[in-house]
Amino acid sequence: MSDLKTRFPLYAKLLRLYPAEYREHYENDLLQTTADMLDHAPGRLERAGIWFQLAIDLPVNITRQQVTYAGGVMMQQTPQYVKHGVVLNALLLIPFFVLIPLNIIHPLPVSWSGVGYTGIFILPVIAFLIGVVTLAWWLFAKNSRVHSFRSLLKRLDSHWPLFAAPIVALAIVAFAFGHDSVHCVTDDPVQAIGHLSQTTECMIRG
Amino acid sequence: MRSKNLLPQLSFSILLALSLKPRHGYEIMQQVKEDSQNKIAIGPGSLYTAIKQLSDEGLIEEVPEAHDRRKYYRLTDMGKKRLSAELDYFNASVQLAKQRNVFETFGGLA
Repeated sequence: MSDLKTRFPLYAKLLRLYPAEYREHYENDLLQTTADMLDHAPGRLERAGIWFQLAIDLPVNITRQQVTYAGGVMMQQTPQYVKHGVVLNALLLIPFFVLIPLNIIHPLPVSWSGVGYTGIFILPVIAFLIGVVTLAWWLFAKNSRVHSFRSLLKRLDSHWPLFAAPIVALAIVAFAFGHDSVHCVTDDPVQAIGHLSQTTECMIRG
Repeated sequence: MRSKNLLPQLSFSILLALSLKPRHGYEIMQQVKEDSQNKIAIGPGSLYTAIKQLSDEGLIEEVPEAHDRRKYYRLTDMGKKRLSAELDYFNASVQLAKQRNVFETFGGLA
């Protein structure tokens, strides 16, 4: 099958984005079917149409297979405490996402009391900390199969959705503490020094 | 809305394409296109995603004795039963629609 890889070097490289297990089984079929399609296309326009179709078909199905594969691996190999931790992360982020359709993210830090503000934004902080501690505990546990940096990367590769909730939590925390209105409420001198112009804006807004 | 028990459209079309004889990937694509009167045009990625799903469910299998370098797929006994059940469902739906004069009201089958 190396002749097909030689014929479609870029396409063959893109197929490496599929999960390894799937690729081992279907890589040759994908290449062969693509070759058959192109060989049967009557003209340049039709061949261009096939490549255009592939440009849409490939990323969609790579994503589907990655999600399916990662989901399967996670369900079978991930310890219960990690799954519970991730679910808890996600639940703690719900209040923040409820605020978005209510369209009160921006005025919230200004108009709410410190307690209300902290109550909403402390949850992503907790979610982030729980996520980091849980995942670090699991990745570096004594009975873990992580022996090297390479095996760590491999594990991260097949369990990437588990990191989605803590990363979203981190993004929310970054948003909260980078939001200009926040400094008006928290009166955090460190933040204020870092954002002099925004602090001035707070003063003007009163 | 389709029931959970019914196959997705593409999976059904692949089973139908394999109902006459074993086929390889490109043949399946062509047959699906022809059967659907050019309404279903799939790429290789979608095709093999569906093939994997059908294989995992035990509805199709690879033909081990194929001499071509292409992989051929065929229906399993379970796949034949499943296709038959799907066709029965669609047939019953068409009969019901005829009884209710749906085609005359909304157009469709002659």
